[in-house]
Amino acid sequence: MIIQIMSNLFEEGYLKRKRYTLLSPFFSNGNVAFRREALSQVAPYDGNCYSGEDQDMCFRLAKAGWELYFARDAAVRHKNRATLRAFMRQWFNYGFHHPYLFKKHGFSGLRVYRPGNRSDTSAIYISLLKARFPFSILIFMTPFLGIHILLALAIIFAAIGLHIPAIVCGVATLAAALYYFSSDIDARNPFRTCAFVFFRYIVNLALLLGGFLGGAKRGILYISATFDYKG
Amino acid sequence: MVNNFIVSVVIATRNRAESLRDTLASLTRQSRKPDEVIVVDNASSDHTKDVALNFIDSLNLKYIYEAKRGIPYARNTGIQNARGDIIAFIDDDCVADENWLKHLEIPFVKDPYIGVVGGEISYFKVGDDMLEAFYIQNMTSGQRADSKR
Repeated sequence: MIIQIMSNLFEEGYLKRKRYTLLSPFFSNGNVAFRREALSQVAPYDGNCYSGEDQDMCFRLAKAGWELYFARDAAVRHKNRATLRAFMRQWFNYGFHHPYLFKKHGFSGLRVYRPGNRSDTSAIYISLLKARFPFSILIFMTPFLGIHILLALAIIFAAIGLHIPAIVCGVATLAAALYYFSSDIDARNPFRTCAFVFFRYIVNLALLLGGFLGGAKRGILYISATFDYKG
Repeated sequence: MVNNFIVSVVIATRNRAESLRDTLASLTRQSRKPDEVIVVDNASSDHTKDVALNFIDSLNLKYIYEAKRGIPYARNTGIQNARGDIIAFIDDDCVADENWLKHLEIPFVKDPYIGVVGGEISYFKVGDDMLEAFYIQNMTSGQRADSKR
């Protein structure tokens, strides 16, 4: 079992029947209903889940053969009460507690995922590499990760005196950042642009760090997907 | 639609009495009334119990105190005390649209292989700070087609 962070649900319909290529389709249990017959097959909720008990439950139900259905019109509205600190802690915790579920459901080996076609909202991540491996490694090759790899390369090249590759990597870092933060950039509103870029960056950093530390605790090298849809 | 489903709504809550009041009030306005509502008080120290007891008659509400802290435990207690064929969950910081329960129930009636139905969670705008604007833009789980990026 691997969690892809967001459910990314847009259209009414079945989740399992290949409408969505989520790795482990799930609903937030803040708004969900179960058939008693299905629930009694797999209940109870796992008391060891500090967070992610909803993902665990949906995964077990899907494995038991039940269909998951997204009813778009069954809507609830959430009262947002986020402070930046709470927001970061929430995503840090999501990342930190996912590896427990990966291990519980038998994750092992090397898995690498890349973002799917952006125009196809139902295919966010596609398997790039799947192999047997003595260590558990799970990596989402996200644009967010790409920015940091390019930046690290630019710094390394600059440090060892390779100026041309350093400049190329530096420019590529900027280009990747522009691509990744494109939805936050509003030329008419620089204050908003700065705030949104800052939020997106810092919350993803919290998630990535949480995932990495939680993974370390469970013996998985885990580079999490980002919280947004863009990989 | 003709069916004989008994639908229970379970709410696990802790120390959010005022917010819970809004959630319960939204359940009284449902086009498809819940057959029962189970409030699992997960060791609250505020007036959660008083708020819940106000809805005993209007919602056929059952109030249960669960001393063991943790969402999974509270949800399990709710399930054990629910008698519904369909058991729906809503969080104590959410407000249901008028047709929420009706739309959650329909798929179960249509297809016996459906075990779980999930719905959209969107966000109320309560202030006008940047963080909230960012949150609303990015955290809506099921976005409407017309607001799709």
